[in-house]
Amino acid sequence: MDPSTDTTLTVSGLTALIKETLNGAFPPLWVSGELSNVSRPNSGHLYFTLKDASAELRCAMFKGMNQFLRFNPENGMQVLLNGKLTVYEQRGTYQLIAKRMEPAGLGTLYLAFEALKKSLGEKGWFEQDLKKPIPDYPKTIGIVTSKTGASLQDMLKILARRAPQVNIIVKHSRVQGSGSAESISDGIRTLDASQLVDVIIVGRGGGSLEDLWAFNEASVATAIVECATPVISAVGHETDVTICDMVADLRAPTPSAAAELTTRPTDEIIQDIEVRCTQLTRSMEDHIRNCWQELDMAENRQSLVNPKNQLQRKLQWVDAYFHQLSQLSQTWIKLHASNLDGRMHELNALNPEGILERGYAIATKVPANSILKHPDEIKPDELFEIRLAGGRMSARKTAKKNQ
Amino acid sequence: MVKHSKEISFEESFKRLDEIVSALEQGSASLEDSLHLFEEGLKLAESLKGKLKDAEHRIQELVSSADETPKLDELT
Repeated sequence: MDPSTDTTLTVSGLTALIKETLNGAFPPLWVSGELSNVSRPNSGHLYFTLKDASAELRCAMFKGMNQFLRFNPENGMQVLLNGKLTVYEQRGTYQLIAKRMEPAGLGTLYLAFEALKKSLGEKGWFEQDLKKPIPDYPKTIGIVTSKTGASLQDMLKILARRAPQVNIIVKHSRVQGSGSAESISDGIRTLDASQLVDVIIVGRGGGSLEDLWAFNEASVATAIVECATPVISAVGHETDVTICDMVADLRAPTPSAAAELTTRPTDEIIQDIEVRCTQLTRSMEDHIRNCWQELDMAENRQSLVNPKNQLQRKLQWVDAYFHQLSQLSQTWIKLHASNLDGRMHELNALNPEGILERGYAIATKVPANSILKHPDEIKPDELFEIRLAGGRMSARKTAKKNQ
Repeated sequence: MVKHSKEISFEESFKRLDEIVSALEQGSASLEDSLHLFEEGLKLAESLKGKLKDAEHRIQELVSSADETPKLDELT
């Protein structure tokens, strides 16, 4: 309906139009002012007026929202409100339905947080595919934090207990107060540039929003995004979420948790290695057993030279070698490792195929297939077969006398 | 990332060990090749365990000053 025509509107109709216009014109917004007329009836909703020197705004904050307030709103308090403007039809008034309320000092921090979060989000800095994988077995862990903080001691204790094989390099930085964001980002850059560490933990223990503020600064976010080494963010407690947490490759709920996330207990790793050794030994045993079975089956097969003896010798040797290896003595392996290739070579030399490879030939009778060891074994003009590495060919003895 | 040494990293060694385990389990290699793999696997396992046991758990501090490149100190 167009209000400029001569059509008569009902009050409800006009109010609905106003409501629609207001909703369309004002997206959710932040507004600052002084609290007055604060009332909290039994319903649990919170009603108040926000005012400054020359204007007033009726506000409501419903129970579902105001139960999360971290402070008790009182008359005279300077606050920042986030919410949406709407029309209260029954009274013919407009009001702000607040979703968040922050004391003015903190409120500006929240605004800054929200603004940075928005702009970094638009840059794609929180994207999952930007996150670098955290190494499973870091050799050296870098930590950017205050070296006088209790959280550093907590981390060092956990790391020493869980992973005594891991080295640690601490880069001291200020973690609160002026210049701390620069100090943190400088620490990240210095550790990264040193190329001494496999992963960087950046963080501090719990504190107020102001205490943790450095971890919400753009300079820290930039340093993390530009860091070639994977970064784990470990700021405050579980409930504190900072920009640093969002841009880091991994967020740990606390510094102690970060120390645990970066390391696996040494005895667990050793156990994993042992399991693999067992798997190796079992597979090798199976393989050797299969070979013996094949050998048994080949027993009756007719062949060039009796391969059974050769294969048996080879298998016996492999068997013995395998059992020695399985003793798993490191010094033994070191001593014998270099011999393996030589021994394998010898074994291959025993193999008739190996002999052929070196350029020899084997002559056999046709069709008996027995090896010719003397020229007199066949008559002149008789066919025989020559076996070379590359294959067989037929030949005929000439009439010429034997040399 | 780390470029300070040419030695094979723990991760890479572990990955190779896993490859060997699955290759041997498949059982398609010749007896000689299997034995080679088996031996390589055992050596890897020993060196991995060695790396875990031999390390000294150094805790150091990277100290930077205005005019120099950062250097490592004992953490005080």
